[in-house]
Amino acid sequence: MGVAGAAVGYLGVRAVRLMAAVRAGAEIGVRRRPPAVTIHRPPTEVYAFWRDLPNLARTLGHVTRVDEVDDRRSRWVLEGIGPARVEFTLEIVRDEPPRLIEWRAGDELLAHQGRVEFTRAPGNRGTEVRLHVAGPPGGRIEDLLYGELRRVKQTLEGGEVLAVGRRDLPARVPAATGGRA
Amino acid sequence: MKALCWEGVGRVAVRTVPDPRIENDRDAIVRVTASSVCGSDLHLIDGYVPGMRVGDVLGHEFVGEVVETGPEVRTLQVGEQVVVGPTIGCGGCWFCDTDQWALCDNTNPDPTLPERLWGQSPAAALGSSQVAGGLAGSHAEYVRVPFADYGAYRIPLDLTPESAIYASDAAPTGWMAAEMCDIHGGDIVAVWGAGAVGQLAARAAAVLGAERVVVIDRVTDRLATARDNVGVDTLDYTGVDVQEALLELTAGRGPDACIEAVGMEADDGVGPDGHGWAGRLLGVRPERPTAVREAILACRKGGTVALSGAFAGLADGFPLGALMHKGLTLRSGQQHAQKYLPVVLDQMARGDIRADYLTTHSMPLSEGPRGYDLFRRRADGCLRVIFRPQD
Ligand SMILES: NC(=O)c1ccc[n+]([C@@H]2O[C@H](COP(=O)([O-])OP(=O)(O)OC[C@H]3O[C@@H](n4cnc5c(N)ncnc54)[C@H](O)[C@@H]3O)[C@@H](O)[C@H]2O)c1
Ligand SMILES: [Zn+2]
Ligand SMILES: [Zn+2]
Repeated sequence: MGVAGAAVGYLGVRAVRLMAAVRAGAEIGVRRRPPAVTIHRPPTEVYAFWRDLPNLARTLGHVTRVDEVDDRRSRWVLEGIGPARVEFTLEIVRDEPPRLIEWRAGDELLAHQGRVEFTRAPGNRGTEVRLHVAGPPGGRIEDLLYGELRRVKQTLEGGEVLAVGRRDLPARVPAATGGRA
Repeated sequence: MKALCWEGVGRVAVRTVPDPRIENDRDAIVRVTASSVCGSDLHLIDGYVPGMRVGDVLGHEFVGEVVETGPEVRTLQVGEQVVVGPTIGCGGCWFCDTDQWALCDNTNPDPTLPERLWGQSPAAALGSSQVAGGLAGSHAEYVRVPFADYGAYRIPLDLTPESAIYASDAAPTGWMAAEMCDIHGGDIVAVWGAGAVGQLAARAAAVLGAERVVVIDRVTDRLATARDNVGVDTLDYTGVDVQEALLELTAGRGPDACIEAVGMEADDGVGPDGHGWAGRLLGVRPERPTAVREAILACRKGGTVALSGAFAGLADGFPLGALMHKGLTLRSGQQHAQKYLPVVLDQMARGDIRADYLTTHSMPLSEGPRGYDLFRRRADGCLRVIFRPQD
């Protein structure tokens, strides 16, 4: 093969590799995460954290207030989802410590039935937590769940939900010094 | 305050950004006295790592003074001099609990991007992209350190800050690489890359009992530094056929373990623009696993390849055949700072690991762009630059 042939062959190999990389790249990231997490704490502790609704609500995003009406029913106030403020009553319909809690909640926007299951994870891994929620089609509930589960996991394991931190950088400030690095 | 920020591919600048403040109860604010450049920063600056935003503050390998602590910080006191590891561990997840801190489940505030790219999110890191949480870095007057009880360590009195700074990242990375090699008596270890990480990996391999260590690079003054300070053999890959030289050195066996300390921007004789307009058009910068390939080909049958150099996405031409048919073990990972930082501090205090010689340049943070320019071009004997944000 002459120099020109080698060059063409080389470029061809590069192009094929590049296309393969692009194709592999496109296959990444088209997956939904089911609302399930493993929490490195025993089921009794995870169940207790969840069953104490005002405590749970402090960890969830959007919830501004929870009032327990009796040992089954509670009034919830949420902000930042859809309309400015959503209120509904939540009723616990099944409670099997430390295995399962099932509930039903009113209001059109967030009307749903939910169940959370706690099972001991294999080895010393803690508790598998799975959420099952049925709500109105296209409801916002499902989208919120994985994020909320992560917050619960972070609080139980690390003690806090890490804040992103300040990043209110002015759009364009003159550089003190700058240039190509 | 002043901070060195990413300004787009290939560009950094010193800008005025808001001071960090305590955001979580376990945060500490550290006043940075010295902050080192790292090969990882080049990958970020050059646009190989997804999730960089203009204005992101760089830097993750640093020492400083604790100036403020959140109400839940237990072990740190205001006024203490500390060295801080780059990755943030919550201390309570299964990964932290099993000493795999760089894999912490909980510290990336938004795991969406890494979960899409990699299936799971590793720990957050300071001064990286959004794949690692987008937390502001240490090339700044002050930095917020979340979960500070786990990430920040008091600097032993007999260590200078110029040594201790490498206990943050380069030395633990090198130590973990050598540990991954599972070194036994008689083992010969080859290390690709004579940057700070490669040199400290070579030193760690020697401390952990390697019979002989060979460091491979093309930058002659780095190779000379490795010979003088680490006491290892070196190979300049522009002057010799590395595969042949390693076979000769091991009488046909190949090195028992190979450490890759180069990463995604390895020299491949073509360079970043070899993929030219097509790569730019398709919006990909293919990574260059040149040194990984070399390490896998060189490694003896049944040996171990430890990957310390950083990769972010996809790399082509990977010699899976050699890996499979030679029965190799491939190990990798971001270093677990909270596990290895105390180990290397101890090694430094005992004099088994020396790191002060790595700092070839020291300058005020305002000269950050010049510092990265020297580091990138490996000009003027540059091995590591440290910035002094308080000057
Ligand atoms: N795993 C971790 O936790 C961790 C921590 C720190 C750094 N890193 C990674 O380690 C790598 C090295 O970091 P550093 O600070 O030493 O960087 P560096 O840029 O100073 O050093 C890289 C060296 O590799 C050499 N090199 C380039 N192509 C080569 C090739 N084909 N064969 C042999 N050598 C080659 C370069 O000449 C250079 O001396 C980077 O990829 C960095 O991202 C990983
Ligand atoms: Zn680093
Ligand atoms: Zn953790």
